[in-house]
This record gives sequence, structure tokens and C-alpha cells, in this order.
Amino acid sequence: MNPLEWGARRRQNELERRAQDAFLAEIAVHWTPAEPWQRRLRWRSSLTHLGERLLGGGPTMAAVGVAAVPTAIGAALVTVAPTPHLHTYGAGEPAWSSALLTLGLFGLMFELFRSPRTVHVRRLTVLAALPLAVGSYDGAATVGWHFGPDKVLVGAFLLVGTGMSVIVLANAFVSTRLGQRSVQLALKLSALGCLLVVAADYPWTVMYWRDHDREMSLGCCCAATGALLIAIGVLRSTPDVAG
Amino acid sequence: MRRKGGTGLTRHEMRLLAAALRLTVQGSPDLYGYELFAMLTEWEGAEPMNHGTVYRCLRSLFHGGLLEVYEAPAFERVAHPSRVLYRLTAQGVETARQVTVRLAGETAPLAWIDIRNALLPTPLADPP
Repeated sequence: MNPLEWGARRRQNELERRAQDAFLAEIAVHWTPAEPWQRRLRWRSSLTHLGERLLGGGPTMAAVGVAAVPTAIGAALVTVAPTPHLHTYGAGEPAWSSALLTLGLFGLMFELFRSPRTVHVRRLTVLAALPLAVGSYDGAATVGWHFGPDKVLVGAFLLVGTGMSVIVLANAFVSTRLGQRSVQLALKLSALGCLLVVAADYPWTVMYWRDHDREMSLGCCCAATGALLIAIGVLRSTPDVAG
Repeated sequence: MRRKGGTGLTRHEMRLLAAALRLTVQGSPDLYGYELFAMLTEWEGAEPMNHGTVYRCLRSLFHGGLLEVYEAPAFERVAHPSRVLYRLTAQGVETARQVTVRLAGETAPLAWIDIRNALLPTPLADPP
């Protein structure tokens, strides 16, 4: 399948798709690359056009979907990594919460790739918000309380948990303007929680690395980097909301 | 893409605006994508803007209110069924003038930038 057509059908709104199709049709009629530099130019142009198909035009959460990948991998790594050498560096009893967070992040990734421009609240609830809310509250209740980053992470979990809970509750009144606005605000609140995850997980990355707990360090680094990208993506974009 | 201070436009967007102003001053206010790409390629020679970037800039300038977009009139659609035209808005003309002055004032300005385009009257008619 032509990736440009696939991208157009899945990502762009009708007006922008027509404008880009018209643009490409004109180029195809009038411009035939003959020289090597023209062929290179055509290749670069194709990449830019594909990017426009996928990400251009109107608010899109596709970048957040991409950012969820390292976060999910990081959460999975933290779940399966061996127990840290220094026991006080352990993050409490995070297995269940990490597993739920991993599940929710993969769900988030799937849903945002499926529909990057419109948040479908019911699908988002089942695939992401519910596991993320439960996992976050569980994490807040069980995470260690020995270091500054621990305390920051508790705050992060509470913010993300609250944001995701609002999305779950918004199912009851998603058809109203208030419900849609609540979902948008809940996403922003969760993004603030992600920023706190960044502030907590980068110090843990260093601490684990210093104690040769490589898997935990890598997991925290992935989670923090992904959380930073998610926060940027969510704060920059206000998608449409539907039931 | 890094945003420039003042206008809030990227360098590519500024180049495209300056090109649109030049074509408008020359009497072609109704621009279409291929025309802009072809003219930039001709003017800039070895390092032209790729046409994906041209499209991205057009979309961005449209969303910024500097360009308006409309479908080609019926008689033109016979030859070009899917043609979409772009035209500078009043705000777009004003910004394009500022951008042209700015680009012309650079240490090594692009050869095709002509500051007179920022000073000459612009023949903007109502879109069809």
C-alpha cells in the first residue's frame, strides 16, 4: 500500500488531504526529476510530505503515541529488572503498579496511533485511562519514601492518577461541552504529572547506574525520557474529544 | 524548525512569503504550489527548498492567517481538476514586506530577494 495514501486516510482531515493531493498532483504533472540532485530532492520531499500526512495540520496526539513507546518500555523494564543491590533504592512494591502502567502506556500508544486527532473517551478509558489510574494510585501507595525523588514520584503518581480518573469519570457526560473540556484539562494535568516523573526518574537513573543496577537505571531513563516527550506532546496539543 | 524572533516565522516560511510577495508584485497574486516550488527552484539554484517543505510552509502560513486558500475557478479546473490556489491576505502582504526587508538586510542575502518588492504597490484583487 502507498504509505502516503495510508497516512492520508488515517490522519488528515478532508480539507488538508485535498489541498495536499492537489499540490502533489500539480508536482507530478509538471516536474519530472532527471538530474541526481532532483531525485534526491524528490526523495526528501516525499519524506516531508509523509510527515505532513501523519503529523501536519490540526492538533494531533500522534507524537504522544510515539513518546509512549519508551515510557512503556521503561515501565516494563522496571517491572522485570532484578532487585536493586541497595535495598533502600527499591521502589517499594511496584510490580503491580508497573505492570498496570505498562499495560496502560501500550494502550495509550495503540489508541493514539489509531486516532491521533480525536480522543475517543470510551476507548481511551478502557485501553489506557483505567489501567493508568489504578496503576498510578497503586504506585503512589506503595512506592518507597526514602529519597527526594521518591516523594516527587508520589506526587507524579497522584497527578497522573487524578487526570486519568477524570477521564474515566468523563464517560458519564462526554457529550457535553463540560465533559469534553474536562478531558482536555485532565490530559494537561496528567502531563504535569509526567513532568514530575521526569524530575523523579532521572535522579533514580543516576543512583541505579552508580550501584550497577543497569536494568533499573535503563528502565528509569526510558520512563523519564518518554514521560518528558509525552508531557511536551500533550501540553502542545489540544485534541478534539468524542464519546 | 527554529522560529525566528519578531515575525514568529521559520526561515523557510519567510522565504516562501518573500517569494509569494515577489510573484504578487509581478502580477501573479493567485499562486499554486507547483508554481512556488518551480520559481524557488529556479531562483535558488543548487539548494532549493523541497516541495514537501513548500507545502508545509503553505499550510502553516494559511493557519497563521497570512495566506488564504481556495479552489481554482471552474474554467481553470478543466485543465487542472484539482488545483488549489493560494493568495496573500492583507496581513500576509504586510508581513511579507517586513520579511523581505529583513532577508534583504542579511549579511549574505539570497540573490533573488529584491527589497523593491517591499516598497511597490501590491495588486491584490478579491479572490474569484
